[in-house]
Amino acid sequence: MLGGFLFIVSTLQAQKNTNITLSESLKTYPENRKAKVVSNRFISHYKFQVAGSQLQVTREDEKDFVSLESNYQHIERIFYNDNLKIEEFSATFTTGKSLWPEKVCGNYEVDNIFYSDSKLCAYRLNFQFEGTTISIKNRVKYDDPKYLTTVFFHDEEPVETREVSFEIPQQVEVELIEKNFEKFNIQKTIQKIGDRNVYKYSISRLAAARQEENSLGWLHFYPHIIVVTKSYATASGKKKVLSSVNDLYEWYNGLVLQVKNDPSQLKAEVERLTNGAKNDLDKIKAIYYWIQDNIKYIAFEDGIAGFKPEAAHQVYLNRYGDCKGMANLTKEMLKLAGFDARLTWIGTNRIPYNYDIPSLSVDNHMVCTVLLNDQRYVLDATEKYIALGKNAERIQGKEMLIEDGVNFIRNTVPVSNESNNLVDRTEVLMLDNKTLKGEGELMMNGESKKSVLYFSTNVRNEDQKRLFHYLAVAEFNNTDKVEVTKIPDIDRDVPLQMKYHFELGNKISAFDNDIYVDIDWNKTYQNLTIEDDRLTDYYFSRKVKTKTTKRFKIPADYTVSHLPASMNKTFEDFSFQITFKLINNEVHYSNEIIVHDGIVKKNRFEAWNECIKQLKEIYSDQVVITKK
Amino acid sequence: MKKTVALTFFFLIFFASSYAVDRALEIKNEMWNSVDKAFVVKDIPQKWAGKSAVIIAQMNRFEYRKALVGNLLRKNQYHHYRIKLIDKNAVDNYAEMSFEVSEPSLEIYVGYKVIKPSGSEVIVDLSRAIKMERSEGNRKIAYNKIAIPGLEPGDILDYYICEEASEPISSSLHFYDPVIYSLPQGYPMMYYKVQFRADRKCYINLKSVNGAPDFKLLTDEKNDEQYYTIEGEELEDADDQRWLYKYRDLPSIKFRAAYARNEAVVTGSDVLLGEKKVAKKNVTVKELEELTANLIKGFTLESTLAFGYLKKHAKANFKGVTDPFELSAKAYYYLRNHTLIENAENKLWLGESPSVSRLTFLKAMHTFLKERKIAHDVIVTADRNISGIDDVIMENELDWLIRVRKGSDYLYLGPFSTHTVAGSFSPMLEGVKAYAMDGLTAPNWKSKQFSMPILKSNDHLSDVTQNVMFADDMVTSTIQVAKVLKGSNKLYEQYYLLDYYDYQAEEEKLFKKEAAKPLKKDQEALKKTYMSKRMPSRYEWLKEYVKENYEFETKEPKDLVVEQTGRFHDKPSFNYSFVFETNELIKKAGPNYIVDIGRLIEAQTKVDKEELDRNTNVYWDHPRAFKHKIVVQIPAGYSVEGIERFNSSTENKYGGFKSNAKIEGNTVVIETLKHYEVNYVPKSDWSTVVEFLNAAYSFNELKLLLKKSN
Repeated sequence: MLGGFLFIVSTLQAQKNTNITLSESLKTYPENRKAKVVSNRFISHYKFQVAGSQLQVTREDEKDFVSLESNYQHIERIFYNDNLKIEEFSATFTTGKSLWPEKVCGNYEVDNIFYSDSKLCAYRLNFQFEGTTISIKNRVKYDDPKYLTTVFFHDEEPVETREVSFEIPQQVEVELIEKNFEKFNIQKTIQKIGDRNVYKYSISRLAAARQEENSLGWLHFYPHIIVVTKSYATASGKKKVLSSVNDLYEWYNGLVLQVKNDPSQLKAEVERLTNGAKNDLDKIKAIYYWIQDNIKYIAFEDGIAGFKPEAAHQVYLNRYGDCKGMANLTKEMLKLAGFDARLTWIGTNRIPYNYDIPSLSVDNHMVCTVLLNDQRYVLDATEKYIALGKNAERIQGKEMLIEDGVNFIRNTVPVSNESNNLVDRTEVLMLDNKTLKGEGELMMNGESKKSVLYFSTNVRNEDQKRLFHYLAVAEFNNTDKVEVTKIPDIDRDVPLQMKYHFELGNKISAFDNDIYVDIDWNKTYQNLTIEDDRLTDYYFSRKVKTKTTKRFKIPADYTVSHLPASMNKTFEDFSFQITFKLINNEVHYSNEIIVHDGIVKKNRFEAWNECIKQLKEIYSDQVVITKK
Repeated sequence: MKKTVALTFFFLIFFASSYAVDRALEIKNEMWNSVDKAFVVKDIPQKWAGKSAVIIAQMNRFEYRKALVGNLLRKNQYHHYRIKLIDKNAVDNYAEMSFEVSEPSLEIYVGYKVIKPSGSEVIVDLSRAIKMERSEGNRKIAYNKIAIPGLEPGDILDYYICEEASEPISSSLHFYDPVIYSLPQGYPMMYYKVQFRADRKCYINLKSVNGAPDFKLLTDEKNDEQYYTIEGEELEDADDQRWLYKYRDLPSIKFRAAYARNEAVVTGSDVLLGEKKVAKKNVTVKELEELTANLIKGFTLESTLAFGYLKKHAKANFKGVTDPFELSAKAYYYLRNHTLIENAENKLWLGESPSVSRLTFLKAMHTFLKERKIAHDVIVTADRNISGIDDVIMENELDWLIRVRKGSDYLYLGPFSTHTVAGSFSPMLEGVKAYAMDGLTAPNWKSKQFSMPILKSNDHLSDVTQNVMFADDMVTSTIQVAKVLKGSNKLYEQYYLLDYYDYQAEEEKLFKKEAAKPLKKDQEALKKTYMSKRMPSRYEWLKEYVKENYEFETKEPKDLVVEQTGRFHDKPSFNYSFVFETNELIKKAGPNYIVDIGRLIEAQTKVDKEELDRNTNVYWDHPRAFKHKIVVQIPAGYSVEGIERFNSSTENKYGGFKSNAKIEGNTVVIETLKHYEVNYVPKSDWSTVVEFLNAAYSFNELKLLLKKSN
């Protein structure tokens, strides 16, 4: 009897907590095609309040989830840290019955960051049936408003109705900067309620946000609001938060001034490094390259330590540091050597802002700038194997905030063109019976050079040879011969150069009087067809220029009976030039692919994919020679 | 009174913390100020100068004893390493270290010091360690991370990590976790020492195998203790190699301690213990017999229930069946259904897999056979990737199965999964030495030694037929694949392409059950979700299979048909077919087309140049064969060239690869056979194996020419 009663209750409960009509309706929208759960309503309300001399901000989120299939577990994640506290979390069925989801809270570990104060609470929500509805509410509090920087509309799951509102007393000066709104239909209203302004943004039917590979990131694409809290009035007067770049610099510089460097512990090393240097540039290189080689990147983002550099001598002694620590060590060592070196704040290219926006979200990196003979050299010791005068792709074109005592200098990192990243392979091929013999040379510059030098010096000693063989011929058999005749020098200031020769048995196919030769087995970018449903521009992480030139010597008793087609496609942002020519009984093959900014924009995907299709056809074709 | 309690509490905390400090100092002294000369060495042999790192000295000590105070068992581990870091890769590996956090029942002691080439030593300040925490309800999980400062190539890192754990004595006989490992590490070792100390009330099992030094019994007069130790020098590093059973080939050691309160408790299923104070290094046949007898006669609820249901089912359904093989196979399939299938539907919806203990299989099957007086043996042996039966020292190395006898014929019955058939057993047991005990005389049996059979390559067979057709545009190829899989070659694909509903469809007639109750609302919802994904997930798997094995991009495969599940011994092959399309098989070359036909035998093993020199023996799981028949429709207007290169043969006693091609009407028919005839090859003959592996890999690269007719 009791069992029957429980069953009835359970069934009724189940019926009350499901809305199958809603889930069936949500399933019909293309945005929800792959979704297992949808937020039917997602509201975030930011409330600014002055309490005494403090300005506090709370965020209250409300989400109404509806599952689109049964037996689904959703993990709701809420981040917190030293400045952001979770004050409340609750979950209920639509009947109002409370849920007590399993909760796991703790450090949020990210690759390449040794420690950060970022933490995460994960709540497990069980959706038993299709159409199960669960509502959650949470409240988090920012102890310091400058840490509230960016508000997104999208979520990890699709959202049917999204609202973001800011309730701001008139005594608080906040600027809400709208970014990437153009492609989204976001409605905005402003309402005055008493002494408060309420700014409300709303949008419907958002697809789930997703991290895409080879993307510049969310800030370049998804709509968001940058919250700049400038100042607020208290009974004792106006208090500044971050009203301008001056305030931002003042705060940053204040942290730098707290750092107690002890240059005496660096002196001997600086003298040792610069002793034999012939000129200023050699001295700078000696110090810069030593730091690149000897200081390991280990990132700490622990509260204020996420903004304050570690003392230079400590980084020196530890032989590790994060970007700020390395920049500080670079600066202090260069100062000891007599140079005007300055700490420099900068955002990498994942952040599409400059210092017109006074926000902690504008930068995420620190380098060191040296002023020498009217030149500014940007030194980033986190970049291993980069030459003085060269700048990593990720900071090119980005605005810097260079320290200048109580003032600062705003300046932009120069932008190099794609030739700075040229990868150039030249080979001469000839037939010897059923073997393709050849000699080759590989030159690398820029980002590729950096990567190869890093890998070649960071793989196990025993594996270095294998890496160079791979660079020479990516795929070869154990019966083939591949020998590297010149391994690359570890020299940042010249292009990487490697020479090799090979004898390969698997690149030709002989049929009767014909021999089919696969000239270019690397087939650069042949698989780089961009998915139709990709949301963000495709980013190669570098400007691209690859060039392959091969000369295939035709045996005297053979003649060329077929050459693959050539290709010449030039667009504003990328180009493909592939040619096969018969010159003096040699097939001259040339393949040059350029992506000027390293980006294929979304509106160019179709053209790009057409090129890749044509490219694949050429790669799959063969040079055919026929016995005379 | 409260004050007394508070004072006592304070005293205990003070005592505990001061003990921890003293203990930390004690351990530090032992590790870094010991007289062990190996741990003060700074230079490495010239022959290893080109390595990434060299372990100058390594010490691992395991201690098992009863605590002096309280009803607690202690389990202590002390690990000390001194490593020369030669290149940046080694520095990267050791620059960030982690260790556990001390808890009430676990004390952790660590120390790190960096020794510069100049000889200066820097002890790492442990207050730099960062605690990483996670809480799940009342449970907290934490560990420490520390970045080692000042570490550079050329330095020596000398560190120790020690754990002293305790747990309440909850049973009269407590088994500590067994330890088994191979001595060679990722870096070469100049000196190593492994120590094993156990309380006088402990039973000790230990053994060195494959050339590892023997444990020596040493006496520690000072502490009135005896302990076992091995020491060695100059041990080369061991790479990860394919087809290596490291516990069978590399010098390895294994040991385990078991704490007993007193002699009387060692009865019944207490196993392979030997005598206190005397390390047990070998297991006798008699002990294996006794252990097996104890297992068989011990009570477990699951096996008793299983046997009860089997008995009832047999009474109603096995009438007139007299053949022992037929009868035992029927019992096998009934038990498989009862324990793994009958109630598995709900689990399937929740993504869970049913399981049953091997003991349930063994006891229920043996009890049934014995009751029916069917001649059978209970077999005890060991998986060949773990140990030879003569080297076994612990019961968790052992495996059991049943062999039904009919004259000189045998029917092997191994512990079942949802797919296994009567007559099959784990390939890990093929060819191993084993002991057979007559099941009808149990428990007073006398075992006979024998070798388990090694199956033929055709018993583990993949027989694949592929029909290849080209679209009129000569871009898309359609490949119809039909597979017949036998033995172990079918298990992987059965797992992804069959489920409860397939089993139930073919077994519901065999094992009639009461009509199922109507599903509840929540069950219906779960079933609906599962069924909506069932076939799409199979096609998704096939798509990945094509991508991984043929290295072709394909659209969604289609037309999946399972013709035979391969779950019964009278229909033992798993037969299925499907169709996929790809644009990557055919390539235009002028007016002609090149067909990458070699790829249709699926990606073959590639032996890299660095693998040609092999210093370990070759272990395959079992003999096996892969047959491919490829039928290519020649498009109108084209002729075929190059088929003569598809005729090849590379055969030797370990296996081979052969292929032949012919034109039949408007088709090209290519047949290949790759086969491995053994499950073990001595390293001296590795080059013989490479010969036929290379032949198969080269076939992968062969192409066919479709020549435009003039």
